[in-house]
Amino acid sequence: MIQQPAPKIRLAHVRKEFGGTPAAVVAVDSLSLDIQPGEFLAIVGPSGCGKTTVLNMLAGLEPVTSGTMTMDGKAISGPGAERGVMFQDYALFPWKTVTGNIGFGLDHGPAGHGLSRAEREARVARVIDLVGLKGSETKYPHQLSGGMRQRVALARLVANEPEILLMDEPLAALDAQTRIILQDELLRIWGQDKPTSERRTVVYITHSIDEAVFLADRVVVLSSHPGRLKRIVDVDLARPRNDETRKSRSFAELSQTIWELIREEAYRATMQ
Amino acid sequence: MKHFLIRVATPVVLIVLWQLFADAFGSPRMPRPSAVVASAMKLIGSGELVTALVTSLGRVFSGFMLASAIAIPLGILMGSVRTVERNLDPLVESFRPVAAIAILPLVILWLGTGSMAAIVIVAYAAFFPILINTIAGVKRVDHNLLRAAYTMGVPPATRMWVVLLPAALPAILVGMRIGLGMAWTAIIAAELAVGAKAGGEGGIGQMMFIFYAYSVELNGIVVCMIAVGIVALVLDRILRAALHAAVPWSRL
Amino acid sequence: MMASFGGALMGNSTAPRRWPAWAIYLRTMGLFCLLWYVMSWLTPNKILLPSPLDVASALRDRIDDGELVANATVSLARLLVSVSIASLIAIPLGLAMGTSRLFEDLLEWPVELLRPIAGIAWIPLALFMFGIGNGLPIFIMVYTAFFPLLLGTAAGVRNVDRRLISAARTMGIPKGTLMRRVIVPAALPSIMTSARLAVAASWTAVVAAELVGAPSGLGYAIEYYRSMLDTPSVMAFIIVIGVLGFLCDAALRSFSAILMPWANAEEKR
Repeated sequence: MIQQPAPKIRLAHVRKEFGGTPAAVVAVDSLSLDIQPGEFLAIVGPSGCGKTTVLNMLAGLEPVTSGTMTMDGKAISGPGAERGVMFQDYALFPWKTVTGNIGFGLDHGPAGHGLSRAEREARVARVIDLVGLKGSETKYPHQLSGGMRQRVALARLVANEPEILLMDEPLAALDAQTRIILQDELLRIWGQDKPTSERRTVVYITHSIDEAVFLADRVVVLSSHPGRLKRIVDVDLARPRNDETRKSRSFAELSQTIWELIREEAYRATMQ
Repeated sequence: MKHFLIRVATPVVLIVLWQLFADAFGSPRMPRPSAVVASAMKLIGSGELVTALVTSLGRVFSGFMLASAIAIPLGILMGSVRTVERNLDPLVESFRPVAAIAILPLVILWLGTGSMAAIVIVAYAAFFPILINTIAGVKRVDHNLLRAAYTMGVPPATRMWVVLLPAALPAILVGMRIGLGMAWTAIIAAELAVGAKAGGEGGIGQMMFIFYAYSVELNGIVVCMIAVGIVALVLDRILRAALHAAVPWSRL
Repeated sequence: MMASFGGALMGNSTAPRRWPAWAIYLRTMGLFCLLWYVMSWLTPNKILLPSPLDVASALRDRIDDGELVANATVSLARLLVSVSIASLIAIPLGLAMGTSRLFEDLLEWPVELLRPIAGIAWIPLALFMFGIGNGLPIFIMVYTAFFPLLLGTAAGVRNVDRRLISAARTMGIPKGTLMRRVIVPAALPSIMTSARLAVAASWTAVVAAELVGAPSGLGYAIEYYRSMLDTPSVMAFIIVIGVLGFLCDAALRSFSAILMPWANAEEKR
């Protein structure tokens, strides 16, 4: 067992309620979790388990009702460029080109402080290359395919060089084939070839169990109504992962294990 | 191809029928295409038509600029800060059903029958579409765009300039297009109504009224009407083109 | 202010308790009237800016002497007649335009050429055709209401979800029934929206037409009292025009909601 460094993010008995008393809805109840630096953590669960709420709290977009959520020991109290967020529908600025979108955080936010114009442009160019969008720099989002838009959103995130990447079902809007291809791309960009110390921390929400198992180091399974931690499943599949991984027996077993944890609740949610 | 032919033929046939009807059954004063064309050439040649149009357009643009200068910032404020909207909304909703033409007598009382009154009427007419569309546009801005900027650490004031405004721009431009149309109608109405009294200078509405009340030049009236229509069309097309140029991504 | 700015941008998860809409309405309009009163008090010339109280008493006088009700009734009657006539012509034509290519070919250009010529621009010519009287305002109003109704109906028909039509046809539904039971209901939201526009436009047109060419009605009244320098009455009538315009729109909106409970009208007003 590798000696664990201090957790990057720690959740301790986090609880989130919506609406005032007496009709408060508890979205998340007493969630405790440690997120290690450089790890790829996926969160899955049936509808209503509070996955997106957890992400919003990590992003600082929603306050916790009780409990503590800390990063590097300091409480998370609002959004910040060190915790980058990728939204489900990409939230690309339609009036900006690919370059404009990717450089947005550098141009207008703290991520670009201290960087000269040339340095910012160089970084944007590097990131465009990294995600494979070279040649599309001057295109507008409405001229891009879904897969390309997703890569722009990812590039925008990466360009700001956040310590944490928070992703809310980024591949949900894509067709199955594009999804598989982009899963590979995502791992490459994240740096699955590099040692752990050079990887960024990722918290990844998804509905797809296969996707979670393929991408993550650990999968957090939540139960719903209210959202509670059901189990954390270690994914000990070797990296780098690829199509071979998808064919492997351990992959299928892990997926099955997680599915069985969720199945009953998912059934209830669908049929009632 | 057949469709195109039918489309072109229909107005032509109608015009021909009009001419034939007027020649066969109409009184000599009844307007007809041949006389309208003659009148048009005379009015354009003498420069009267152009002068009148320019006068009216000048008033429209002044009023329109005035309306935009107030309505757009106010609309952004009302769209972003719910408290302001809730408090000002009663005023907006109370005055909106009152057409510009209805307050014309009041404005004439205050400002006389000159260009100043006309500009105020035009501004009033253009104000509401611009305001309402701006408010709607600001409210409809995709919240995720603002959140994305928020999560990138962009401060609130900057967010307004670099996210809110560009995102609301298509709706603002639509409001301006509608407002310009209403402004043009308002100036015609205002000039007509003022022309019905003594005084007032120029403008196509007044020219129409003079043709009616003084020189009884019905063909001249028709020329003015056509000019009114053409200008309305041109203004609308210009603003549509501006919209497409400025915000090519919008589906509005 | 910045907090609520951020709140409006971000969305409030806990909203403070608010005044109901009618209370805010009274508060705002009350403040407005107060401001008005102060301004009129500062204006020596009462013809220029009468106080709200003067206007209120003029309103009462005009109700008492019957002028208000008489003129309002006349204008409303013209509105009703005009919009009805316009609907009876424009809606069937619009349905035809939306479903039949031939009708579209025939009507499109004449409509597009006439539409930019505002109804109001017809007033001088119409004065010649109808003289001063009832005919003029009704003609202008029918013309004004016609185009939004026609084009709104046609657009509504064209925008009917093709899949609804396909679904009905695969069930073997014949053309006549298709029109009545599928196309018209599906186009109804658009038709009602354009009806609201048509009514609003006609209500504006009636004032303009009456101002210039009718011996009765609210438009005529404003002009009459202006010539008498009776500013309080002018303002009173302006208020009545506004209120009635609002009520007509509200009535149509309620009617729409009753007619089409399924249509979640996203208010683009």
